Amino acid sequence: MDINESIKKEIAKVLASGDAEKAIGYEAGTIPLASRPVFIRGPEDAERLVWEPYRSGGLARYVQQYIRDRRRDRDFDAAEAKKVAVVARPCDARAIVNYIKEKQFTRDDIYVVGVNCEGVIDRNKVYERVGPYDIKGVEFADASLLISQRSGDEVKLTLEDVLASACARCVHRTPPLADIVIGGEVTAPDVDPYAVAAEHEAKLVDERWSWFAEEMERCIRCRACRQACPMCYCETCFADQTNPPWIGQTALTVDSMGFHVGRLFHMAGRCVDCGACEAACPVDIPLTVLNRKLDKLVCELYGYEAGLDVEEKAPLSTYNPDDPDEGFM
Amino acid sequence: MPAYKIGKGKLDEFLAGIKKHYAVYAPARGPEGWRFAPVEGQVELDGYLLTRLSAKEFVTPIYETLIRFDGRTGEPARTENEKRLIFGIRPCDARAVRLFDSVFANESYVDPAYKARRSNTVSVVTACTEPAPTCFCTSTGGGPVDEFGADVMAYEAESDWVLKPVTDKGEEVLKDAGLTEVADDELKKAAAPAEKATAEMKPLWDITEAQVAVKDRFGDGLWKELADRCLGCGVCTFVCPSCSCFDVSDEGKRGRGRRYRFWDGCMFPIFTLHASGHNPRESQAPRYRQRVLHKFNYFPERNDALNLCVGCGRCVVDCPVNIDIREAVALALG
Amino acid sequence: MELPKNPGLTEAPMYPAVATVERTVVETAAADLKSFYLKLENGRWDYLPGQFAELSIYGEGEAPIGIASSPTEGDLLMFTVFETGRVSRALHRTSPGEVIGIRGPLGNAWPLDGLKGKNVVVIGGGFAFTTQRSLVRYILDNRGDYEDLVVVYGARSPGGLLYKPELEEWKKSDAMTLYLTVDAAGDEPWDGREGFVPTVVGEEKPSSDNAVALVCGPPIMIKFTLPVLDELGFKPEQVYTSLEMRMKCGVGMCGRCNIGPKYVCVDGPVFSFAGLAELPAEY
Repeated sequence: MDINESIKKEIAKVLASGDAEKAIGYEAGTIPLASRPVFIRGPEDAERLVWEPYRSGGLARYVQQYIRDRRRDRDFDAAEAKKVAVVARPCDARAIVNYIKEKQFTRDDIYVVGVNCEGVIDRNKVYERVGPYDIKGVEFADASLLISQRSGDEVKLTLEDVLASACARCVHRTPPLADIVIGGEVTAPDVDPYAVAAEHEAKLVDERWSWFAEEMERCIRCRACRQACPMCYCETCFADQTNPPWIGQTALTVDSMGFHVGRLFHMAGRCVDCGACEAACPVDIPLTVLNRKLDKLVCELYGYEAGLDVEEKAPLSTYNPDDPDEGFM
Repeated sequence: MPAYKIGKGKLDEFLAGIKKHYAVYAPARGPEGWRFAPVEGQVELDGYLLTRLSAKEFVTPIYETLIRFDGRTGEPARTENEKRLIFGIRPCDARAVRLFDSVFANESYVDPAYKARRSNTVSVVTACTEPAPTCFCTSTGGGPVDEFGADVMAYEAESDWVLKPVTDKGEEVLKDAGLTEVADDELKKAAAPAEKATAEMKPLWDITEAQVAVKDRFGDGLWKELADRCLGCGVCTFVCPSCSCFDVSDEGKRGRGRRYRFWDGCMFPIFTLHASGHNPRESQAPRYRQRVLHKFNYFPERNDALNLCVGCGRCVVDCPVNIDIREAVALALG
Repeated sequence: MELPKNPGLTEAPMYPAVATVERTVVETAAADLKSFYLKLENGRWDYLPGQFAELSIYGEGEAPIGIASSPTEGDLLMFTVFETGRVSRALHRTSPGEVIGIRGPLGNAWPLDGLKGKNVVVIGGGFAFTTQRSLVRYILDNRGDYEDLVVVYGARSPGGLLYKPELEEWKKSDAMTLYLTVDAAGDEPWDGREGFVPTVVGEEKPSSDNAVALVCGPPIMIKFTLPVLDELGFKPEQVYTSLEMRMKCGVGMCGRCNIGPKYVCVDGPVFSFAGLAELPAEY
C-alpha cells in the first residue's frame, strides 16, 4: 500500500474507533506546490488526505493550538477528552516531543501517525528557477518535478535542486515519537547537519555581520516566520509587547535584526529545524542559518539536540552545576 | 491626447532622459524574485509578470516617521518630495495605489506624506498579455488593459512600446520627449494582445453578486472552515497591493525620538485587542472574514462599489497554508 | 447639526496640536480617574458633545479620550482619563503648566438635532459618563431647546462617581431630574440610593413618549439596561450609545475600528441601536 493510502487508512481507523476526535493532515491545495493542512472529523473525510512532498507549514503547531483552545473552552471535560490525531513528519514529531517537554499537552492527548520522510520541496527554491507567477502546473514523479510554465515551456527539476535546505541536511528521517510509523525506511544522507553553521562560523566577523545585515534588509516584518514556527507559541510575543516595547516596529535593519535575534535566542535548543520559517518567508530570507548556528552551539556545549526524547531534559531550562559557563547570560 | 511610440531599443535612452527630472524605477530581479528597483542602465523585463511585493511601498512605505519630538514638542517629519516614475507597474498594482486615495486623501482628511508621494509618482502601466493562472483581475473590476491607476498605458508591440497618456501627469512626461505620435489604429494593434488576454480571462463571478454574497454569509460557518488552518502570519496583508492598515508607535531616548507608523494587518490578534482584554475578533475566523469582507464588501460599500481586492493573486501564491481568496469568495457565492 | 471641522487636522491629521494643562482634578477616591483642563495653544476648537480627541504624550503614544467639557463652557477643554495603559499613566503624571499633544475634535456627536424638543434620558455608568457630562452641560446651557431632562448615573461605589461637586448642584437643580446610585456603598459615607443602574431605570420608569435615551457604560450595564428601556417602550431608534474600539489614527485610515463598513472613529462613536442592528455584531 502506498504511503497516502496507509495514512488515510490509519486516520480513518483512529477516528472510527472513537479514540480520536479530530485528525490533522494534508489535503490537496488550489495551486501547484501547495498541500495544505486539513482538519478531519469523521472517518469518511479521511479520503481528502494527500501525501505530497510540498511544504505547507508543519502540522504540529495545530495540535498545540487545538489542545490549548479546547482546554479553555468552558464546556471542556478533561475526563471525556479524546485524542487528537496528527500525520507527522519527523520534524513534526520532534516539535511534538518539545511540546510534551514544555508541558503543552501530554503523550496521551495525541495519536501520532508518523511518516518516514524524504524531505519536502521549498517553493522559494523553485521560484529561484521558475517564478511564482510563471508556474502553470507541476507533476512530481521519480524524485523530480516537471513544471509547465506560463510561456508554455516545460522545465524539469530534480528533488535535489529544490529540496528545502532543512530537509537536505536532515538526519532524522524517522519520527522519534509515533503511535505508528508509515513508509519504508529512509536512509539519512551522509551530511553534517550543522555544515551551514560551520560555514557561517568560518567567515570573518565583519562578513558575518554584513551577510546578516544584507539579508535583514529585505525583511518586511510580516511575522510569517514566527507564526509558521511550531515552537513560537508564546501568548504575547516579545516583539508585540508595547509596555515596554522591546524592539522597534520599523523595517530598519536594526529593528529587523532585533526581531530575528530575539527569536533566535528563544529558539536555541528548541528549534527542530523543520524549515517552516524559511518556507513561509515571502522575501526568501535564509532564516535557518543562524538557528543552526545556535543549535550547533547547544550541541557542542550540552550534547543535546531538540525534540528527540521526551525524557531528556532541555539544557537551557534545566540547571546543572556542571553546566559550562558559556551557557549563562 | 495622442499616443506615442518608441522603439524598444530606445527605451533605455528615453528613461535616461526622464531621469533628469524623475527618479525612475522598473522591475528588476532580486533575491526574492522581481522587485521594483531604481533603473541603472538597461531595463530588462523578459519573464516579468508581477513583483514579489506590490507597488504600495511607493505611496505607503513599510514604516515612516510622522513626527520628530523633543520632550513635549514635535515637528512633522519632512515629506519626501522625490518625483518618480515607475515603468512597468501592472494594472492591478496601479489600481490598488489609486484606491488608497479614498483612505489617505479623502474629503475629510488628507495625509500630507501620502498626498505628496502620490502626486509625485507617475505610473507607466504595462498591459498584461500573459496573465498567470493565479491572476483574477477581471473578476475584481480590473483587467489586463485596465487604465484605472495608470498615468500612461504602455503596450508592447513587435518592435515598439506604444505609450498612451491617460492623465495630465502622464501627458506631461511624454509630450516633449521627442516621441513619435501614433494613429489610433496603431495603438489598437499594439493593444490587441492584451485585449485578447482580457477576453480569455473569464471572470470567476459577477462582482456585484460576489460583493453581496460575502456579506450575506457573514454568520456562516464557512469562515471558520477556511481560517481553521490560518497561521495568523499576515503575509497576505503584507504582500497585498491594496492592504493599507497601519499601526503607530513612539520610540525615543530621554525624551527625544520619533512617532512613526508601520504596516499592520487584520490577521494579527492584537490588531483589534482592547486595553480591557476584550477582542471583537477573537479568533482567525472573524479576522479572515474581515479581510475578505473589507475587500469585497465594506470598501465597495463606502466607495461606489469599487472592489478593494484587485485580483493580483499574491496572497494566493504566498499564503504558507494555501488559503485562497478565490475559493473563499466562490464558497460564499455557493 | 453640521459636525465642526478643525482645518488644521484636515491637512495634517496625524499631527497633534499643543495644549497646556491648566489644572487637574482627581475625580475618584481611588485616584485612578483624573480630569485635565486644557488650553489650546492656538485658539479654540468648535466641537460638540459626544466627540473625542487623541491625547498624546511624545515617547508614550496616543489615546482616544471623550471630550467631557461642553462647548458652551468656554475655551478650556476637559478630559477625564482612567489610568490604565502607557499613555494614560504618563498623562496622570503630567502637572499643570506642562504641555501635551491633542488631535481633534474627532468622530460624530450625540444626536443633538434629534434631541431638540424631546425629553432626554441620560443613562450612564462608571467612568463612561464623560461625554454624557458634556451633553448634560450643553443641554442645561441651551435649556429652552429641550423638554424634560432625566439623568440616571451610577458607579460601583460613592468614591467612583465623577464630577461630585457638579452632581450636588444638579441634585438641587429644577432644570433636571437626577437619580444617583451606587452598586454598593460599603464603608463609604453615602446617604443615597444603592442598586444597579438598570434597576433604577426600571424603578423610575422614564417615559418613552417623545423621548430619546442615551446610554453609556460598561457592557454589562448596557446589556441589562436595554431590555428595561424596551419594556418602557423605547424603540431602537430612540436609544443611542457611544462605542469604544481599539483606535490608532482616529481619522479612518489605520483600519482597525470598523464594525462592518462603519469606522467607529469617523462614523461613530455615537450610534443608535437601530443603526447598530444594521451592522454585524462585531464590537
